[in-house]
Amino acid sequence: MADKFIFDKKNVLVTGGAGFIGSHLCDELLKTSRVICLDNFITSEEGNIDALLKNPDFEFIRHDLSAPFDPEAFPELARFKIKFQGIQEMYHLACPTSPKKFEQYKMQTLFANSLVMKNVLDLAERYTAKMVHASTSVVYGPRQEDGHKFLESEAGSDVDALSPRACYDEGKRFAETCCATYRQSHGVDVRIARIFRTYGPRMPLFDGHMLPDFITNALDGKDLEIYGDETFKTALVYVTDIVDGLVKLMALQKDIGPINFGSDVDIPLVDVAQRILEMTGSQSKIVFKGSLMFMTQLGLPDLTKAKEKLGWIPLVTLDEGLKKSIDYTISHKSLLSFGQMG
Amino acid sequence: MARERPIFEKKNILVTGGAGFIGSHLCDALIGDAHVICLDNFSTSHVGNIEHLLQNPNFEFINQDVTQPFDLESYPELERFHIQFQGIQEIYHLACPISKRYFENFKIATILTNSIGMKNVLDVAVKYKSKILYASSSALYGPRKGDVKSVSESAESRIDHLTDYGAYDEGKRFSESILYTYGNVYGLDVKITRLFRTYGPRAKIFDGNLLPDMINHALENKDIILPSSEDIHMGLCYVSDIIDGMIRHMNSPVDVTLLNIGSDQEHFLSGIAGSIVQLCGSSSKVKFDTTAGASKEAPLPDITKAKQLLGWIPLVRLEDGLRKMIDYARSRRHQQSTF
Repeated sequence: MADKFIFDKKNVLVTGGAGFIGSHLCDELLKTSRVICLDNFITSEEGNIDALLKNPDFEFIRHDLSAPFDPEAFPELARFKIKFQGIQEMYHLACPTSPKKFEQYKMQTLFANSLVMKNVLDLAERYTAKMVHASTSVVYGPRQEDGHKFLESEAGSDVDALSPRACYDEGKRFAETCCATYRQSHGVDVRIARIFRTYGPRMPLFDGHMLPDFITNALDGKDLEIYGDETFKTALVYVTDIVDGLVKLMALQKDIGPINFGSDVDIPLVDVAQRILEMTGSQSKIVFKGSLMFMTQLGLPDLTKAKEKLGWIPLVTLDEGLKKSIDYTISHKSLLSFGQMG
Repeated sequence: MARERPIFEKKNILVTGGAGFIGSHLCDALIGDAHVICLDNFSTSHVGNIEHLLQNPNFEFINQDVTQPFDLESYPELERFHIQFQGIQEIYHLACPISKRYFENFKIATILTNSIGMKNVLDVAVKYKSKILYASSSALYGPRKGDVKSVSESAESRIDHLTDYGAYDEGKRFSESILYTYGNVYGLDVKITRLFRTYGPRAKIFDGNLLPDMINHALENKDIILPSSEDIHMGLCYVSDIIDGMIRHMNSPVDVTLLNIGSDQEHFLSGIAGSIVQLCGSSSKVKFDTTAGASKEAPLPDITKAKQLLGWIPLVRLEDGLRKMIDYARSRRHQQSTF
């Protein structure tokens, strides 16, 4: 039914659209669609979508999805004619992610993975919208022996349901179960994207994500702080590659089950920090600090399925991605440090 | 701070899912020295389970779906329990749809109960600083792995959360996470009792469950077809032992969070069926379903912790428990045919 009344462009809803990945996704979708961006700014920033606010195809609604969302009740969405056009696609990215403020957002994290899932899936059912759910590599549990790459079918691995991290790790698994159950019981066409560690412009600063802080501190001549030691390894995928993967997954004719998006190239974080120092010509030092509960090495993805079924591989090299992130930091420096003061 | 408030008389105890198989036996056990508020919406339970309690002044039934927010102080029928002064001292949270036969119909309700329902009940616990015990499930452990017969509380929980049973299995796990997180954030005394296979009177007899089906067939002198191509082991715990374990767990020290409760004695499925045939005085024959493939065996609980910390062990012998269950099935079948 939703497909029948398309007068011109598709209506696409992005939850968590002011977040790091969500805002890049909005940028991309606006090339072909109308975008309704939902966010409550819990761990995201208005600044991420500032450039989009004047675009007539874009509308931002500040809303916490733990309460139901009725798009037809918002006068600012009237021009999208949702009543007639419906909503064709939904990308669900809303979930608090903050390594430093993890404790503070525990309850919101629980609710994002339960109440919010219900409200979003109900909306997809109401509009018979196709939906892509942004899940995460944490559903696989902690990284296994070096070099192991997780297959999509391995999600039955052991995640501690009674750990301080459970609201996120176990919550994300339950969120996937909600998707599967709505698909089984209500026929909602929801696809699961398991996103691995992603970097790029607009990552929150000074929140424990490390990479954006490396760049800022390198430019400011301050120490680059690694939460962990020399052995901290991780794989990094550039944000536009992730956006590309999400859009490709949505475009598929039929659901193919959960799919991994990430990089399978493991690098010591200290090498990344070193590279940033070289690229910025910085004299800063690299120092090691105690690890954060919410900042772990994470596992590596097996990308066979993404390659074979979607023709997706990460394209942006680490050097290119770091260069773009550094350029972004330089050009937004006054704004970024202003945000920090506030 | 309800707990610091003087308790004038009896404790107020909330039992969600109180009209269910296990819940109703729990209400029976608690009613002796507490006020019992029994919450249920009869989605997979039955009013017959609590009919005998409805006249008891210490008992009140509230028809309420836990996935909808509720305020216990808004029910006039609860006024005599003076909740605004006395608070709620203990919550046993058992509510969760469970139906072998109609599982499909309750999937969405199952995920909502295991998320929003859990939240709503915990919000009550936060409001009254109640102790709360959550009836979790051995389903979290998945089937037996290799030669490992029994699982301790720290055994790994490896389940596929995207299967047809994810709504239940993963839901129960997530419920534990919600409970744990609430305990952590609000400083609540939270208990998780992982219940293993339980049997006894009031287990639904026409819902496609293994033991009730066997009993029905035995009472009708029909052959009992076991749903497996070969014999398997099974642990069975009688419901009164389960109730005893849960109550002891509720009364245990604050650091006793997670416990297995169930029987660590195993029986052959064919042996259980044979006992049922014998106890029913039936002429049924017991056969294996050769087309079914071998059933997966569920693990037995390692109950070392419950023994040590609660002084609890299962007491009821299988024959005694089965006899009571058969008596119940007989009377239910009689009622069924009368109406």
